[in-house]
Order: sequence, then structure tokens, then C-alpha cells
Amino acid sequence: MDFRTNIPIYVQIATSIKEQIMSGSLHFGDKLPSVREYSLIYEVSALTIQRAISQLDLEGIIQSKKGIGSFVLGDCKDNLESRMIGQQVDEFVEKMKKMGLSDEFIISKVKESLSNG
Amino acid sequence: MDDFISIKGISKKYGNTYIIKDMSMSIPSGRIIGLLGDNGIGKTTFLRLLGNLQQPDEGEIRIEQTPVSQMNVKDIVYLLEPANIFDWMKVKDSIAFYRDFYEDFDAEKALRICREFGLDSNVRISRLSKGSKEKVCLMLAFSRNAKLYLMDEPLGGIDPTLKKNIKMFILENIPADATIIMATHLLKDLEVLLDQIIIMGAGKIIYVDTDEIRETRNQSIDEYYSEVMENAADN
Repeated sequence: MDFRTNIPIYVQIATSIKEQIMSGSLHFGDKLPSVREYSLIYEVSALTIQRAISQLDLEGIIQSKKGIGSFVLGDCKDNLESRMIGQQVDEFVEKMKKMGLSDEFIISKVKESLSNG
Repeated sequence: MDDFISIKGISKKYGNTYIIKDMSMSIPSGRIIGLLGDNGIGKTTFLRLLGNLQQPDEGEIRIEQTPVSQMNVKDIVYLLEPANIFDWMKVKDSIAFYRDFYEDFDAEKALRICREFGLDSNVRISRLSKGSKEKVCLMLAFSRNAKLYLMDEPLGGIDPTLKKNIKMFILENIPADATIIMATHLLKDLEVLLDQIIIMGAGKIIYVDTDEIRETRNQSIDEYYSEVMENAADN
């Protein structure tokens, strides 16, 4: 994998694993490769992999069981999708508010846009 | 206090000139660390102090609580320069010699690395090219299973193919919990592999996580290092 050198490497690996879940190449309940296997797949240190794994664990996307391994959590595809949608909506609302628009106006505009298809 | 390496107030002088002055730091285990700085700034001296090949004038270095001066040199891998190997030996003799001397030496691994490197173990080391001699040094160092690997510009004259695969080579051949401290100029090639960097000669010693630099400054390690050195030169 080609990394961007100005973005934390562990973040890029966590994103790469999320993308594999979204695209279906990793499924619910799948056991993830070990830290050592991932280290050789991505050609990064074991520490960087551990950080990526903890990040995914923290976000509730995988579950790490000490001494057993890490597993894709059952509901995580929905989880990921709803989170990504949530992020987009948050960004949109923030932009609108910065423009000084009222809640009612934003809602009416969204409704208008939806009814225009 | 579960620091792997603890460095307390070490200084080293050559004549009246301080090469290292009052340096202190704690290094956790399992890190791959790049040692950066201009030539002649003291990187080799620092590595030699860590490897107990030289002693500091002041201060102390401990590895897992034990003063380095009381440690067995066999617990640390110090990657030799080609000039320091016994070049009258055949490659296979050097493997036998290392196997007898170091308990952690894995002769099977040594032969596997020879095959990967295309080294003929029946050839006398003195007959090898400079690049192949470096490969012998790498092969001997990486065939051991130690906790600490010290390397001084390990890839100086290495060929482009090996340089391209060096990250994989290091990761495949070193225990995951080992600590590697590596003086290198190949920052662009290696920066993704490095967990941390130590910069010498920028006014003070800088010791920092690479992902922290990326996270807080949106810079690559190469960019950060250039900036640090430029600022140091301006002062």
C-alpha cells in the first residue's frame, strides 16, 4: 500500500480495514489477520498495526480479545454506514449555520431539495 | 518504570569537545527508531555507547534496569561495518563462527537469508564486492534473535532491489517486540517504517513519535526533519 507520508500511518491502515469491511471483503464475525501478518501485509511496524487495531476497537468496528485475536463486529457495516452518513449531515449543517441560516430555513431547504428529487 | 532503555545524563568528550552533552531519555521496548542528524554529529558515538563498545564520561545507560556496562554484549546486536568482519573466512565459516559465539544465532535463518540475497556461502568474504560484504553483515546481524538491534547506516552501499525490499526484510527477520535504533540517511525510503525518531545536532536532542508529527503538523517526517535542521542552522 502506498501511504501518504503526512497523515498518521495508523489512521490510513484503520481506514483501509474499514474500506475492506464496507466493500464486503471482510465480513461480519471474520477474524482479522494477526498483528504480525498485518505488519507484513502493510510493511509497517507491529506498533503501528496495534494502534490501528485499538482505533478500530475504540470505534466499535472490531472487537479485540486478548490472546485470541480481533473480530469484525456483527453490526458494524450498518454502524459504519450510519456513522459516515452522520458525518456528512453534520458537516452540511455546520456550513449552513456558519452562513447564519436559521434551523427552520435549513429544514425547509432540505425538504425543498428532497421534493425536487 | 518499565522503560526498556533508560539514559540518564550521559556525556562524551573527545579532547575538549563534547560530542554528547547531558543527554537523557527513556525508550520503551518494541520501537523502530530512526537516528537522524548530520555526519559527524555523534550518531555513531551514541550507538557505540548504547552497545557498550564505548563508555560515557558521565551518566549511565541501563537496559531493562541493568547498567549497559554490566551487560553481556551478546544480548545486543550491533550491525558491523564490512571492514570489521573477518574477511579471510568463507561466508559459511562466518555463520559457523556466529552460531558458536551467539546462543541466539539461527543458522537455518542465516542460510535462508544467504539464498534470498544470492550469497554463495562457499565464497571467501574477501572476494566479495562491497555491496555483498554489506549483505553478509546484514545476514549475520538479522540471523540473531535479540531484544536490541543497533545499526549504523546499515544500507550505505546496498543495491536498489534490496533497498526497495528492506522494510519487508527487517520486519520478517526481527522479533516483533525487539527495539531497533538505526542511524540512516534513507529517510524517504524508511519513514513509514519508523515508529519514532531521534534527531541529534538541532541545538537539543529531539525524540518524538512519527505519527504524532503527522497528526499535529500534517508533515512528513522528511519535511519535519528538513525544517528542524533549517531552523537550527538559522539560530
